[in-house]
Amino acid sequence: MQFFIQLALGGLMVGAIYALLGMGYSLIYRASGLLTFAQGDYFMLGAFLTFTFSVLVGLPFFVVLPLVGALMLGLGFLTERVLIGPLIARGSGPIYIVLATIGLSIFLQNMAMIIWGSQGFHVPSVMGDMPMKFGDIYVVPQNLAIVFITLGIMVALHIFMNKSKVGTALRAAAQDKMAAATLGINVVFAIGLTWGISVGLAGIAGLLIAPIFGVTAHMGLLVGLKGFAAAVVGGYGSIYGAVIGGFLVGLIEAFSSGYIDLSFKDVVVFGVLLLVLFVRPEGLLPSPALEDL
Amino acid sequence: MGQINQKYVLAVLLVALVCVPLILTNNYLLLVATLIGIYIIVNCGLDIVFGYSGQITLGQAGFYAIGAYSSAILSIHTEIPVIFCMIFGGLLSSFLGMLVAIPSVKLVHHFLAMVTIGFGEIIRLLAMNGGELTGAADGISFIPKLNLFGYVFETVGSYYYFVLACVVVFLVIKHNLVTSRVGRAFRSIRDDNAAAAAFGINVRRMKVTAFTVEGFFGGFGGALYAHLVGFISPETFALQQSVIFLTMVLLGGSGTLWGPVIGTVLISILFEALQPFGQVQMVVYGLIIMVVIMFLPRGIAGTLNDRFNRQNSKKLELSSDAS
Amino acid sequence: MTLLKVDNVTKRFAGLTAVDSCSFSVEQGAVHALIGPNGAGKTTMFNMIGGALAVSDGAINFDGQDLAGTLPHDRMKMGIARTFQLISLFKEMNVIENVMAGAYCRTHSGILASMLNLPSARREAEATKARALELLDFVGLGDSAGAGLMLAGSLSYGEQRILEIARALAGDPKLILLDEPAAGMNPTEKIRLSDTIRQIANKGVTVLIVEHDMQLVMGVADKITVLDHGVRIAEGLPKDIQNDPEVIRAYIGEGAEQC
Repeated sequence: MQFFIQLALGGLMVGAIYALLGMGYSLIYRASGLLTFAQGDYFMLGAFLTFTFSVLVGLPFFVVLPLVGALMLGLGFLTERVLIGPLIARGSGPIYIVLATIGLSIFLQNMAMIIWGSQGFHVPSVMGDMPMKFGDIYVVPQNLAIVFITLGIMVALHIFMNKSKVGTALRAAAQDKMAAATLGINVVFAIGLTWGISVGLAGIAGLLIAPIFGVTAHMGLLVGLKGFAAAVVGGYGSIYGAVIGGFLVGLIEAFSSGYIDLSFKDVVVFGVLLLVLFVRPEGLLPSPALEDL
Repeated sequence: MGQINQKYVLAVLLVALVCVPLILTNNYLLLVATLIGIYIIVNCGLDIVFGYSGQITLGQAGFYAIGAYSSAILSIHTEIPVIFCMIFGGLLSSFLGMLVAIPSVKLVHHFLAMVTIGFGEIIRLLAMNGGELTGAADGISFIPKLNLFGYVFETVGSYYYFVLACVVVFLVIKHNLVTSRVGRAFRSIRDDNAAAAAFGINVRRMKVTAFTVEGFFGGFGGALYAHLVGFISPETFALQQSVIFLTMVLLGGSGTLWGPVIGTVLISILFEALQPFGQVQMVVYGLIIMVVIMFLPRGIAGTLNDRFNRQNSKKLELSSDAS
Repeated sequence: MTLLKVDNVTKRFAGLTAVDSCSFSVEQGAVHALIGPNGAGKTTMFNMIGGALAVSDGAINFDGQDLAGTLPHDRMKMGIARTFQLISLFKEMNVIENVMAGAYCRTHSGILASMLNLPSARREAEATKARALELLDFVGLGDSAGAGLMLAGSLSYGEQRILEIARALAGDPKLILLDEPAAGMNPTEKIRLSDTIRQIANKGVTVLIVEHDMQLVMGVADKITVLDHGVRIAEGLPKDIQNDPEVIRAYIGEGAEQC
């Protein structure tokens, strides 16, 4: 039982990370109708920025958090304005735009390697690295923080999208660009901002995971794919679905590494992803059951 | 007239290629030339799915790995002649390609991209965790050399000729295929799905066929690679390799006979030149993909073709005005 | 002899009835026109005959066989070919190849024969190509030398429509469905089009045509069926239809709404 709970906690922690990335995939899909392959690399970039600001520069955490968030947001906005937007505007097929994001992903990953090198770095957690003990169960405080921060972000995103004027504009622009434009919404800005938020989420995920997994230039690939798996499992394009999907993927991964074999956990996750895509490409959750953003 | 010219060019090219080992005495450069040949075969297969059938595929490294591993394992553990191991590698890869394609082809572009990536990664992870059979992270070494009718292709120079012959065969096969009834069906799915279906083309079956062919090209290429270098390990078959293949096809011009050839040669040379700069290589790959998609979406060969076609149609307009 | 029999066919889309228990028959070898104001359900009817849409109710019978449950590519094999309202040529293929692709279901070369360019495949390809050139001549796209090698996408609008007809004929259909073939054509092209349509019928291929150009329809059709709001409101010879008060009301009514 203790083993089970330990695994479940670990699963929820990585699941939260996948959920943050998954939400980004879904937001981008709604705004631009396409898939980006660079989410994992933005996640990696978030982790490296965190390392740079908190370890190399020595800024306090409460400065690093908004700084990384803002930088990633700007980077996402820029990605849309410089690369994706122009491609859509000139009528490039989806197959080419998807490829462009793959090019971007390779570019970012290797730039990171040139800048920071290919070795791993450790980032200390603000909450300390010592595990807390609840009965028989050990919990690293950062793990719990990740889960709660993810849930907090989800609630904040919900409130932002539904209650704020900007959020409403974003939703309108994602649903019907023409109609939104006639209502005076700056669609170009709205789509860019949606990318900004998605990339920001990935960056925050990188910031949160840095103290646990460490930081390397290669950390983005698998996490990016699993974040995608989260979005697919939850029903691609659904924000809440991505969160549930993220936790589901995290738990599947944790239990398969605990009960089957550590080295097969990635195979199992990809197996599940392929199975869902083959059998239920619309996602595992009954879509009408999830009233979405 | 054009046809005769083309034949002369091809003949000269072939003679030049036959002479390469006589000029390139440097073994390393000869190895690079042989690798280019292998990549051309793999990329021709990739182009059949990507360029001619309009389906995205990023599992090329997976096919490459299946061919390399199965041929290596078979040739080490059995007495089967290497050439048959290679063909088996191609066939197995082709079969697995078909199996993956059957449930995948209903998916739209980005999901298909993800499935093919997942496929490639699963193959790599299986090789990584295959225990003694695949040698796990250490891979397989001492893969036997090719032996045909008692002649052992011991040196890179001799193997170069074998690969060159294979390149010619695969290019001819690709040319035959894409200009055939089946090739027209591939291209009609790419150009207009619904119209293709209305003309009796079973769209899903055609896509599966394309992936099956791709599997054979990729698998056979992988087997050629394994018996060339004599050593394989999972890191050769990472997603990065699939991206490199795709970059080559994209730059050269997808959906053309010579595009993948041009792209493979150019990028291989470029990266040999960039070799001393390490990571910069991959940064350049990433940049090339983005820049080509932005400014040269039809690649080098495609852009040249377009220009040629435009000139042709201008000429036609002039001649019909005159008549 | 009746080639196509549409029997009480209904099509409903989520609450909207696009075609409402509509019946008509097309005679073998005839040019049969389906007309009606915008939104009358003509294209929906076409899509049901072509197999792109399933019928909600009723039956379609072609050449003595019930079409229920057959897919578009089955219908092509049975002898129903079509052109598209929105031009759907294979744009990156040349003109001859487009026509050859239309013969797909009448040819057999498999993947291996194709890859190895076996004699059987070569013979078939040559025959298909010869037939394609013949058809291009027939529709009048064969005159300028080398035009066959141009990409379909680079033809003029009217030529693209004509090429669609040649491609459809390549499948040796018994029935050809022409969906607004004259849209976007200039007057000269329209005259040539009606000529081509008559010749197709003379060859024994039945033509079912949806067209907005009344002059063309009246000149070319043997029989006309008029739909309005998914219901058949009239049927008969062109001269009867022209004077049918019901038809005039349907068209003028539409005109009034548009103002």
